Amino acid sequence: MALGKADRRHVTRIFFPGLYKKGQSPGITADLRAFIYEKALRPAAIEVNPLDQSRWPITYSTLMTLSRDVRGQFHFGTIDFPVQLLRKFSTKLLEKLEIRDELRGAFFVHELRGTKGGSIHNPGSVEERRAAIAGVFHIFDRNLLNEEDWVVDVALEVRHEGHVLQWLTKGHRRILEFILQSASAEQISSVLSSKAQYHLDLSAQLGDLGGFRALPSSRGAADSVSYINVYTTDKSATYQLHEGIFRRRKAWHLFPDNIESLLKDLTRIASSFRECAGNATLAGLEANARLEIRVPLRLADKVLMQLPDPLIQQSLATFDCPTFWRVVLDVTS
Amino acid sequence: MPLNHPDEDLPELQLTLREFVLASQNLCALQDSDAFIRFVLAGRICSNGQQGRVFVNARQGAAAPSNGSYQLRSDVDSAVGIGRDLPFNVPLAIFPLASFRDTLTKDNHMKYTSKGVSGSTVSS
Repeated sequence: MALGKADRRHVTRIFFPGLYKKGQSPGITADLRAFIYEKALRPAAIEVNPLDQSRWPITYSTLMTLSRDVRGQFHFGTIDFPVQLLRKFSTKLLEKLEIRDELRGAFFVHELRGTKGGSIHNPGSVEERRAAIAGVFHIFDRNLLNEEDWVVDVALEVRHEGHVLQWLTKGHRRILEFILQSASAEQISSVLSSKAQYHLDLSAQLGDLGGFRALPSSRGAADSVSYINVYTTDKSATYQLHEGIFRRRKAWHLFPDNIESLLKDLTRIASSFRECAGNATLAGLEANARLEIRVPLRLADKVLMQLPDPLIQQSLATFDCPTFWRVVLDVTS
Repeated sequence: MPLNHPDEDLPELQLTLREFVLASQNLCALQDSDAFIRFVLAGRICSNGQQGRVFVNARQGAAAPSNGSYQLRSDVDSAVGIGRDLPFNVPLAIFPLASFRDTLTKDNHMKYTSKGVSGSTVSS
């Protein structure tokens, strides 16, 4: 469950391994939530920082009442905890959670996401890479971090001005060979043929174009790569964090009562793709090619320092915006 | 003659993405919606009264951007750390009531061996 945030791009969650049961809902019951608040979170916060006693609602039930608006919707407020007391608080909180069997062995997972825009740098420069990492980690005290317990997603992005770049499915082997330099040809073949380790993401339903995600597992161990994501940014034209017009449709959307609304949505989707294609007064929407890998923090300034041109020549194709977006429009219609 | 392939045995036509787009635009301009749908959905085209099967070859005629014509940049998109500490150098805004929206609902491709539960590894 979410514990807190120190920045817009950050969240720290607390995990309870004792509650994990394969195949079962990971939801925490109301009873346990009440226990966590009343017997661990609130007492730990108050013991460490008694001055703020009044800021912590007295019971879980009071907290629930305070968090609901007149329509019954929840609003999740926060209480700032002073930085100099955080270590003491974390120790106290974990100690209190040990009281209950199923909450034993709890740990924190700190996550920073969506930091690409703020960390752009020249791939060849170690100094710039280090500065980018320092920027991403600005909310953390690096002296207190155990680097072995951290992983980072380092990415290379290729842009061809005025164009849509696409990965060639035929180039996936070369990309894996480049990323997993210690892996043998057999190991690369095994990743490519594994349903669990390799997921092909076709673009516009075209078999020749598309990226992939790979979880090379032990086959990536020698290069310390745990995850690979190769994609293009044309997904930003349809990407919605909320449920919006670009959502998955079901068969019942075609029923007589619903089809009108589906047709209206299709018209709007088509119009959006037409705009992406551009026109005489509006430049079309470009798509960049991205290659992301997950490595331990200690390797963050040593990996993906370059993308050799021969690899680009073998694994990318470029299209003008009107051609690509018109294909997307046609396969959607 | 028995057909092994479920599709009709028709003359094949390979199109580049550009040719595919031009052909679909032509059919659109002719306002022949049947022909347009047959073309983009079923891959059928009729030329001089002869039906043909369309194959889109996205690699045909497509090239990578030439050396020097593209820009390359790097970034750090995310970071994930696991531990039993809160190692911040700024205050932490704590949720007294855990925000449901911020609950982890998808695999984040991290594994951590919990010391509290004997022998079990949890995906976190």
